[in-house]
Amino acid sequence: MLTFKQFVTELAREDVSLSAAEVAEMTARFGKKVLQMGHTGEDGSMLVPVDCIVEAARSLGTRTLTEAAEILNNEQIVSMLQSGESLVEKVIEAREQKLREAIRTFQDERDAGKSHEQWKQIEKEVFGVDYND
Amino acid sequence: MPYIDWKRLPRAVRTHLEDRLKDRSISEDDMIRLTYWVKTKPEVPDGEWCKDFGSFKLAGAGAIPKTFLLKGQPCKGEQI
Repeated sequence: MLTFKQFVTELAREDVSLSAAEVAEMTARFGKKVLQMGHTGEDGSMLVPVDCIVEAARSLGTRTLTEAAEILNNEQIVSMLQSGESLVEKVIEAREQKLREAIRTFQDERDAGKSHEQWKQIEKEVFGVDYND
Repeated sequence: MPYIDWKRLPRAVRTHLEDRLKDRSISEDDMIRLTYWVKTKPEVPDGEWCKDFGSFKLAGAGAIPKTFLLKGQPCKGEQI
């Protein structure tokens, strides 16, 4: 169990990091869509935005979320229950919504400087690369 | 078959994408399609290839993504 301080520290981070082994295990169980939850690094690890996880958790009921956590934590449970998969799908949905909002804000922005800054965020989200130019 | 090396996407090509998304020649839905496709780590042919997203196409050669073409512009290479 996380302490309150640990929990707040986790929430304050921009991304949660999944190891390559975790990504591989989740992909084996829930399919390739797991890769849509975040940015995959060259080493196979993945960064998943904390706000998308929070949004996904909010949209699942407490019972479903508890079930999802049990499924994610127990490799032996055969995923007859949809909760683990639902959590993955909700994170993907939250991420897509965030990108859609970023695109609309970028398209509506009249200031060229701000618009380009917003584009850099979209570019990073789409390609998973922070282009330094 | 190689994987696309997105780090090698030229700046001019990204600027073109930025401009076309800004003026809405490229739709929000098709940008989402591109994003999902990128996340699947697609394998591409060694030679020239082309991927159609609806309002735009991405063309490349092997691991190198080369250009974005708007709807109606012809695309060389293998359709993927």
